[in-house]
Amino acid sequence: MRLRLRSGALSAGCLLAEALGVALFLRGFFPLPVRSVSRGEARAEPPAEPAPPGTGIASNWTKIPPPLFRKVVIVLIDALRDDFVFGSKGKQFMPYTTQVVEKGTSYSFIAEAKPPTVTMPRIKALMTGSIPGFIDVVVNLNSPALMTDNLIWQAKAAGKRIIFYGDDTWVKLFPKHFVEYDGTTSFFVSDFTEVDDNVTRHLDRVLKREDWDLLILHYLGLDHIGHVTGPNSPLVGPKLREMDNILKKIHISLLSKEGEASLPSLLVVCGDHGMSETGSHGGSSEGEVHTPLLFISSAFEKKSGPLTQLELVQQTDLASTLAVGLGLPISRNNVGNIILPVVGSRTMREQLRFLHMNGFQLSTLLQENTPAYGKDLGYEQFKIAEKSHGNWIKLYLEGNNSEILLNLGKKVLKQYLEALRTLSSSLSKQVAQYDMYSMMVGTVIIMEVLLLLLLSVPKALSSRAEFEVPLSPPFFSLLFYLMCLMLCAIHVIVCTSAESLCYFCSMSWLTAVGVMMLISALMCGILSAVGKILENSRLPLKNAGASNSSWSEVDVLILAGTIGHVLSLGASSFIEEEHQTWYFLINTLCLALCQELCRNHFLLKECDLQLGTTVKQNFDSIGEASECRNIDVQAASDSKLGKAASSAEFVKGSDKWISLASPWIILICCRLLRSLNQTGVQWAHRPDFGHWLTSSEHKSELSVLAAVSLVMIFVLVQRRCSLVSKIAMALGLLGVYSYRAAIGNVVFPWQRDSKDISKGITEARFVYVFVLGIVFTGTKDLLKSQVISADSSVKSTGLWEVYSGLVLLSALLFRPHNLPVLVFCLLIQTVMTKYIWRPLKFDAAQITIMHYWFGQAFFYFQGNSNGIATVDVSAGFVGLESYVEIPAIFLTAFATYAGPLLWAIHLLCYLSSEVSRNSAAVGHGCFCYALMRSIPVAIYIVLVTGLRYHLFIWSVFSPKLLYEGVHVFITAAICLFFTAMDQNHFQNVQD
Amino acid sequence: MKEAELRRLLAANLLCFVSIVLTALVPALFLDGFSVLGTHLTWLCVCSVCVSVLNVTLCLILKPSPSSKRSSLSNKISRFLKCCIYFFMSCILFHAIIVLYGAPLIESVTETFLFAVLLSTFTTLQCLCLLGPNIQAWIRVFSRNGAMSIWENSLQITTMCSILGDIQATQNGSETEQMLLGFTCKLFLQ
Ligand SMILES: [Zn+2]
Ligand SMILES: [Zn+2]
Repeated sequence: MRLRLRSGALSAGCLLAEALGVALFLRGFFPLPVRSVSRGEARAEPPAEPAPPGTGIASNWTKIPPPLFRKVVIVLIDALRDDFVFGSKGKQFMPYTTQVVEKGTSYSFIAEAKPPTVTMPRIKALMTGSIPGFIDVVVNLNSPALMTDNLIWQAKAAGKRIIFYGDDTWVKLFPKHFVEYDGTTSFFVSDFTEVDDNVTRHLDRVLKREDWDLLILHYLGLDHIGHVTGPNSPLVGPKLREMDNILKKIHISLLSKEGEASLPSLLVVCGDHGMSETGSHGGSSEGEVHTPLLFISSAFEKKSGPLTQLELVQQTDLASTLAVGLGLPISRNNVGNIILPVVGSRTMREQLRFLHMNGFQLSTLLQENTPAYGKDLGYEQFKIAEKSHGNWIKLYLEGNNSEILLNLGKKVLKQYLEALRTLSSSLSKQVAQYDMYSMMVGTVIIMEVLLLLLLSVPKALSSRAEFEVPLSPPFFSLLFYLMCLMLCAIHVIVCTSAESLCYFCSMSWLTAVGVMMLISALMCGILSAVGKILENSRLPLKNAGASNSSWSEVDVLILAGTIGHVLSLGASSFIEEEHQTWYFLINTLCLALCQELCRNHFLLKECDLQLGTTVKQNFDSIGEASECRNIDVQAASDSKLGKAASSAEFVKGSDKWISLASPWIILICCRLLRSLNQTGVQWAHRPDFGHWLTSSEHKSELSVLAAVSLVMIFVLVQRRCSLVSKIAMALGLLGVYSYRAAIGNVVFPWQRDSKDISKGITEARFVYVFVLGIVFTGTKDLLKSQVISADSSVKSTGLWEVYSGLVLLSALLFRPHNLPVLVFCLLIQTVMTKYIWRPLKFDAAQITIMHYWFGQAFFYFQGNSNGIATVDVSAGFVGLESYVEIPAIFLTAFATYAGPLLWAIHLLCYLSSEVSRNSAAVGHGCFCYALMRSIPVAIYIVLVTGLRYHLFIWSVFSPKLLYEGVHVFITAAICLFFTAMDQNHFQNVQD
Repeated sequence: MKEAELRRLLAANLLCFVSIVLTALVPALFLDGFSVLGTHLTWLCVCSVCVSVLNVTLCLILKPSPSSKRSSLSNKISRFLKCCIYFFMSCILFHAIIVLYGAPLIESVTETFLFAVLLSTFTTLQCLCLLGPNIQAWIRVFSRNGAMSIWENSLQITTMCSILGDIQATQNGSETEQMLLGFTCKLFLQ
């Protein structure tokens, strides 16, 4: 019994298996942080002071120390970089703060934020003292309530009244924790003032009141300014001045109330993350991770000298410091240390007590997370410090000389600090705990798929594009069952022996067995493929040599480019600058195509003339000799080309010259696109056209550009659409412009002064209707061509309509300055199809790989990079009232991967129009596409597994892994679509 | 015959190699503060001049291409002028290609242009020496299986490699970095 499988179906199946493997691997690589017991459990009693040794006296101080501050105000300024306060900008625009920092009663530090430097994980870090896992970034969109122990929850449990104004991420993270709150959404990034006015308007009223203990203000304006105009824009100065005035107001108000109360108040100023030189954040550059941290309180000593070198602390240190300052227990997952100067004004006994509490909490966390905690250096150091602390207390209770006591106390303090630092660093390292078993299973599946695809290359690219899969020869079925059995045994052993929490073990038995059967089936497939190849190789080799010599330059380039790109994935800097690799590859491809065209147009004719033979059937041009004369004429006077030639020859001649110029046109397009969005890390700060356009003073230029681009899109897309979709397309593009005008990105020429900015929901939905309409018309055509088996023109119109619907959708989702990317995408596709691919008669595999390369390059032309920060989240909100998970994820993914997706669909359009020439074209294309995607993914996954303890694993390799993973899912969907189309055609041929 | 030619080819390539190394070292004796990285503009000039002089002399001495010696003086002059024009055009072309590959358009024009000149000396000049100003021959040599002699083969390889090496370097940033990368590639392959 044999199953016949077409190469399209094979590749789609393989990609589905691969998607499963990738999902398993990702799940293992980004484990949900397994932490200390949730806060719902009984609160652990705070540790008592260490008992003095020997005598039976126990310390009588078992309660949590009382708060040090009466009121605490936390002012969190989003994206506040350290040099905005401590640098020249701070001196210029924040005079009050600078004065307080230099001469007032304050302590200032530089707090280091751990990447990913995105707002939500940073808020979590500030409030829990822990380092949130990478997966937090992925769920950044709909931040669920924080379930772990945290400062806010502790404060609420202790009866503190908390007021919050600012970014509504907080409200989502801590629902029902605030007695009063007003959340502002960070949705409109172009809004610089209203987000902050929303916070400030409450300030006067709240500062007069006495009914709160903790006030949190989160200002978003600076972050928005950074995103839109960068850190050096003239808008930053006034914003900093505004912040300075607010700080002054709060500080003065706090000071004025101090006289009547017993305890002083504390004002904390911090940033959640900084911003890079382009104004974005998410990565790990110096500007992004360094934020200022200011403690201002009259409890501190007055500074005298000028600002010296600032001490570097961790952002996580704030949580424990504030917990102590408010008289709360330190939250369980905290990995930070108390910042000692802040509590430095207290007595030695209190300071020691604070450090002991911090150390006790850290060592408890260590005990819960590592079985071998006893051998940890930090744990040992802590035990020693605890012992000497006991001794100190003994002396203290005996009422010893204060001089000795002080010196001894300082020694214990030093011991504690040392221990805390070691404990923190070993805990921070543990954040990355990989689930190796799931990762291995995923890797095995992916590698098997890759092997299978590679082994089936000769068969898949043959003219039949078919496989014969032996379903049940006795040997393979035996092997299959044996492998299943063995894998199950391994599964049982792994899952029962290790105490590790492994995702694959926690899956249901049925699913696990299914995965194992898949692995074994793939293995059998590989073995049978190897067997067949061996069988074939025993037969005399006939045309191996001939096929070797037929490699053209383009083939060599394609192979070398693919290998080179895969190899470059091993280096972090190459991943950061991956766009350079792709730009280089497509540029070189264009040059190679140019050479190919030159040869086709000049050399072959030359040969023909010289040899005098007629090999014309190989070349599509007719009338060789006359044309050659024509060339000579043109070569002699190429400026006045074709003057002497007759009109018919002129058309042909001009066509040829356009064809020769087309690679250069494409090169110029690519150069323009490259300067539109400067991406990557190292050169991302260079000024680019996109930033120039998005700055508010160039709004009219942006409007003109957007309008021209939309018209161009219409011109390029409409030529192969039916009349109905032409009209729908035009209306849809109009809708796109009015949507952009409604949300304030572009202006209508006739209404200059209208300031009302809405969410543009009506306009966006108007466009969606047309997108759906066009896609629906296309699908209807496709179905018709399938059912009634009409001629292929119906099918290609249908495909093109689906394609144009997607173009319209991406026109809606792209930011307006990116519309030229879409135009150039369509332009290059048109030029390539007309002047390069069709005349040169490339085969399906070459065309597919070229499409893949251009798709990749357009991914970066869009302004994407391999960092999380460049994902355009705002695309997920187009036309939606509020955040709805499924559409938002779909829209964001579509907007991000629009480049590769559009090129892939265009590939399908092109190949199905080529079916007349090569009936297996679609199958070949699908197979090559799957192969091109599998190679980098498989290699990258192996690389990442090897590099999982690399320094840049979180900042560089993990985001890239996520991008690759999502790309695999998208490719699997594309291949399914391909296969569906291929099947149609197959049936048609059968009919 | 074949072996003798091979030896001559080897000698020529070795000479080229040595001259490049020397341009990096010798000027340091005469010029204050010269280094390949520090004063790359000077080095670019020195290197391209040296290599072009060497190429031309080698071409005159070795005569790898059996050119017609019967040509008259005016013929020779026109040939020479044609060569010059081709060389200049190739400089412009390389400049354009470098810009298309991502070099900045306006800033550091001198650097880009000198780099284009250097590229031309490595590629076009060699072609001119070997093949003369004959575009058809060039296209023939640079297409698959088009090389007729060992000289042309060597030409193919060096030209392709210098273009690839240098252009890859151009992409990734600073000019000095480009030089280094380009030349490691070039040296390695010669
Ligand atoms: Zn933020
Ligand atoms: Zn931001």
